[in-house]
Amino acid sequence: MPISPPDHGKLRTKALRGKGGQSEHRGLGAAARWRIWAGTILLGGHQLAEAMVPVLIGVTIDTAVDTGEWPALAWCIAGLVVLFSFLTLCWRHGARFIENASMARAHLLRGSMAVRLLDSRGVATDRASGELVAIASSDADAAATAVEARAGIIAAVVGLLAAVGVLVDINPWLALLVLAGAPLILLVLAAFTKPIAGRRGTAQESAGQTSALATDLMRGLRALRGIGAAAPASARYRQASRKSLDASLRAARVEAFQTGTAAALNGIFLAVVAVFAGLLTLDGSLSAGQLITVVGLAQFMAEPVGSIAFRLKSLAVANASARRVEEVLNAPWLRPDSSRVETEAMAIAQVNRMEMPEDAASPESTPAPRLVLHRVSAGSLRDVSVDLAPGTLLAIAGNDPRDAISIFDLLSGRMAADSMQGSVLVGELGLFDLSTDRLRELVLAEPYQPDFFEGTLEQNLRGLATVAELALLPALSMTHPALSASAADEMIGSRTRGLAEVVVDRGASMSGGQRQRLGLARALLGDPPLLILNEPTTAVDAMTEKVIADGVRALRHGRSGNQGGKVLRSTLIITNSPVLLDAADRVLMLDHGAVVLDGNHADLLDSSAAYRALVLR
Amino acid sequence: MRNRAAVPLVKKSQAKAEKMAATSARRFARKAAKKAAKVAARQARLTAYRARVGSPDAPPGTVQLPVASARETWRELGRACRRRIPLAVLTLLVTLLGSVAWLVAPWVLGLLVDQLRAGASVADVLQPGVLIAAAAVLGGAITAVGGVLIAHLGEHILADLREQVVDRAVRLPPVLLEKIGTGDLVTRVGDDVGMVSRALTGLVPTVVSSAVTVVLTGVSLALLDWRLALAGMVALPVYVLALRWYLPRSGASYAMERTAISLRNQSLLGSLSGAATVRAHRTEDSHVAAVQSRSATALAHSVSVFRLFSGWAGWLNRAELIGLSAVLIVGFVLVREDIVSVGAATAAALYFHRLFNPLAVLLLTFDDVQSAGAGLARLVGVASIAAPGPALATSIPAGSSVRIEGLTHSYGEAPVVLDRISLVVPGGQRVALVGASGAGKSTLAAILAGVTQASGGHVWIGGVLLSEIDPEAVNAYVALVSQEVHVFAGTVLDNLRLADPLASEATVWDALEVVSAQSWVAALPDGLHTLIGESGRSIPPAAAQQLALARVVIADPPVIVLDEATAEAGSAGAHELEAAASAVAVGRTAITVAHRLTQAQAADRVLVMDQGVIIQDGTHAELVLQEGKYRLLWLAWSRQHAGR
Repeated sequence: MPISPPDHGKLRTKALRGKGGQSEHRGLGAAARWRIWAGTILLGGHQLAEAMVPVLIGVTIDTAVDTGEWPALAWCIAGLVVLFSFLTLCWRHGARFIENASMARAHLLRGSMAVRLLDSRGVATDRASGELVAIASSDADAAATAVEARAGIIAAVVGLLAAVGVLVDINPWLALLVLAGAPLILLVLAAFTKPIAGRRGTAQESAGQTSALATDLMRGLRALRGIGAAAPASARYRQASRKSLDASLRAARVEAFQTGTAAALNGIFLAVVAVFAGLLTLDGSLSAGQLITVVGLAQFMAEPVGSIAFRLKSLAVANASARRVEEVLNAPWLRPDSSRVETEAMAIAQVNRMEMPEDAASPESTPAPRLVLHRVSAGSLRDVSVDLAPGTLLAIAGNDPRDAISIFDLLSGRMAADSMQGSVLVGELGLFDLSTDRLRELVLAEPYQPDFFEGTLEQNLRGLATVAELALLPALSMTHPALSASAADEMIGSRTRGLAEVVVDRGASMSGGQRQRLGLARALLGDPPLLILNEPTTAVDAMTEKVIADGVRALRHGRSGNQGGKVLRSTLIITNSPVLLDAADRVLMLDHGAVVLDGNHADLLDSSAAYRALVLR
Repeated sequence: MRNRAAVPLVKKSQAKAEKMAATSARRFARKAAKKAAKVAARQARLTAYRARVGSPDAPPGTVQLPVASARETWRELGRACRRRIPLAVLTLLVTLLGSVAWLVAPWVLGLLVDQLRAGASVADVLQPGVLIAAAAVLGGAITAVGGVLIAHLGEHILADLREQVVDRAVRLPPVLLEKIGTGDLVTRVGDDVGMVSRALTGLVPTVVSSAVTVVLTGVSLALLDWRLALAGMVALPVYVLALRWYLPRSGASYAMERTAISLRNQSLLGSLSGAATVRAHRTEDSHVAAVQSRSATALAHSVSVFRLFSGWAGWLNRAELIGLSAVLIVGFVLVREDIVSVGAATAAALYFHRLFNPLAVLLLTFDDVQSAGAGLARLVGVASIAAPGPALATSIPAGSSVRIEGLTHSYGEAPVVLDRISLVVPGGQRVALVGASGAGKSTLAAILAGVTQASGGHVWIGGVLLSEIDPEAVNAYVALVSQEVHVFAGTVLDNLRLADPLASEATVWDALEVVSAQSWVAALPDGLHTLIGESGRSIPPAAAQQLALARVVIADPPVIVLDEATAEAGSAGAHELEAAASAVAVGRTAITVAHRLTQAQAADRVLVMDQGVIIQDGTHAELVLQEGKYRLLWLAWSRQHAGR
């Protein structure tokens, strides 16, 4: 294992290849490096002082207790005071430097991961979000402990060298004996590592299964109780618990055997050293105090040697975590930023006197772009061609749920360019020529399962993670048309604190219907030029569904199809609900990824048996 | 054995290393993450259901499970030990003996010093060596046996305790269960049990042996000379004062640190698992800022906690310095006055030197011991919920009729949800409850199944008052199947045998046939023995609901309440699930909260509810012809579903 503190910075600079804030973090890096060095030196000093404690006890016995001279005793005690003060100070400040550097590094890694993982370009990773959270929390912490491990190893080596130095000075042969003995004991004890790890692993697995069974039973407790099945559940747990007990005991037996062996070996080692030192004392080459020193140092040696072994192991674990963190931080973008392409494309478009939106930054005033899919095959879609004129409310029905996901991922920019065939034009530009930010200004794709965040309902509806940002905006009115169009007004009104109600547990305590309505309200509030909704009403009752269908139509497409002087808005709804399909200007039906029907709901109902079978429940 | 001041750092990194080891294996991490995502989704569905059945305004988990006081916890531990008296006594004796063996070495070394000063032979040097080695081998053997005994005692007590906790938890009265929520229960049987077990394997052996060693070292010092023991004791007040200064401060700052870290993780979890939404709404800057500020706050807390700890750890060194100096000075004086030998003074110094580690262990693990104690108190709290012994109410329903009289319900101060409902359902009738959300359908269903206790009125099941049926057995008579599906981790057979552990495979297949699930179960790689749920293959919600219905068939209750039991299916599976639900209802009284009007169409009787009262009551055919809400609903429904 390489022991080289200067490479602490390597991972960090790699880590910060995300956007922004690089210079700031580099500055912090230099300061952190300085701290790590200072901390390592101080911890080394502490180890050195630790090695000197038995030496000083021996000296005290020799020069003071044996001679009975008061001044000698005074000097020895003064020495002890100085030694302990040095030891305490070194450890306190050294440990603080190292610990703080490690914690700061974990914080830094976490921040970089948040930046990276939330970046608009999207990160191409096959890890589940739960796993990413685990990497950003525990792996970031674990990776940072490499700082501690390295400092600890260096400090232990210092202590070891100091002890050996003193022993060599007393008697080189003794030094050799002690230097060989301490690692030998560790080696013998290491033989237990495998069986212990094996059995402890089995025991932990068994305990984990038992715990999983218990939590599983608790999560399904209502289902269990619904049929009065408490006793079988309890019996099933008891069975698992006994199995786990056996596994724990098997592990405890090996562990106890190792502890016993360690005690025995250390004692025997002590006896050998004592006898050897005693024999040396016998022929006068050692004093009684030196005997104490030798015995004390022999005991001390086990500590740094053990510490090195332990820290090498934790360094390996830290490196494994660091690799995972690095992998996430270096994962490729889903949509590599193409702003340069966009600028060029815009220039070309302007040269060709094509119409370009003047004010690109404000989606409120941007009219809906024309959306043209030409012979698109992507995901489960096969050769799909659609021309969505600005101002249209288009509904897509289909028999394969994967089609909805494909359309959704494609148009929300979550698909890489090379996974699509055909062409998609958003306004005048190709889907992959648009910068991700511009695409998101034009198109809002509200996820099927809307996510909510901690904070108030208003914060959630506006997508703001902190209250401070909320204060900068004019308050949201309960009569906002987006709230009634999504049928969220009634639900918000029923809360004691209305919009200021705090969302508990990231919205998990709300019903599926409530979540859907809130998600819809949030999407409508965003007033995007092109809105894509995926099955927005699966969890609401029939009457509410009607309210929503009418509301969305009225809000985004004017009451009777005219736009009422507003900028044009387009809406694409993926749904099999007859109520929503009925509200659409135009309906497409997909059969396993291919467009098979195109028309309006009423006509399709009349003309196609397949359509009737699909949408009528 | 030395290097005690470094113990904190080692201890900290060991704890971290343990945590990391758990995450090191990629495979595990992946599994865990998948699990977490599934669990989160399930939790969301579950709480969502509860929010509708329970009060929408009451924050979840307002009622907490009991926590035992310190005295109750000790008493319970004492009882547990008394149940295993021989093992407990043997453990204590062996631990004592092991510590005695550990004390031989310094004693003998002291003697060796004396002999060397007096002019010794080679044999005089070898003899103590053999003695130390023999004591070490003996001590090692005793340590090993002691470790095994401690593990046996502790693990058995823990196993008994956790089994009792789970048993009490699954038998909680339904009404209480509904108020407590599963969150607290999951924490008790999962996290708390885990914490106490980890303490038992990692903490208890070291703490016990350290405590015994400290006491015995004191005794040994006293045997050398009482004044030496007294000198060593000088360090004690420093230890005690340091601990008394530290504990209240550390408790508060550790709690703050833990809160800050959990807030940070919540924020991370929220933003990362909602990354799709964050990106879609272009709010990543806001979320990154929130995560970073939470992380910075947590960092600041961690730094100040470590500052406090590292400052305090210096007092341990000071106590050691004071004790060691006192022992050396007293030893010096006693040797000078010829009261003890140089060897005895040496032994005393070595004894005290050896005491540093056990004392540091005791002090540094103090808060771990405390938090393990808190976990234990939470377990004992659940375990001491009175066992539902022979119930006072033991009326047994005869038949499957349901009668409701003047049933009224409101959640706290909220408006009335059910308003004086009276109703008679003859045995075997299939009733559909229809109405808008908030009409009181789910509440009525929950009351019938004994999950919610009505504020007023009475319910009779099979001629017996609901309140007079043993609460634990209520659901054997009135089964409740809700939208809240749960696939238990285990095989398909395990899932179904929860309804009846003795059910034969033939019975299980019959039940699967009733709910039309036999074909897909037969198509699974291992049929009934295929692992499903969290650790196995995931099955779609509709299939999970079929299994829930099959459980009902096996449990065979006279009355069933189906609360949107077919809502999970989505449009495709709805027909199939509705057919399964109808098949289960055959031969029973069935009360269904109808999600789709086709369910009402198929029922014997339709009840239309609005604002807590039944406004219409009749068959589908009758109600469609009457002017009223049902007719309107039906017309709207059939217009959308049958074209115009």
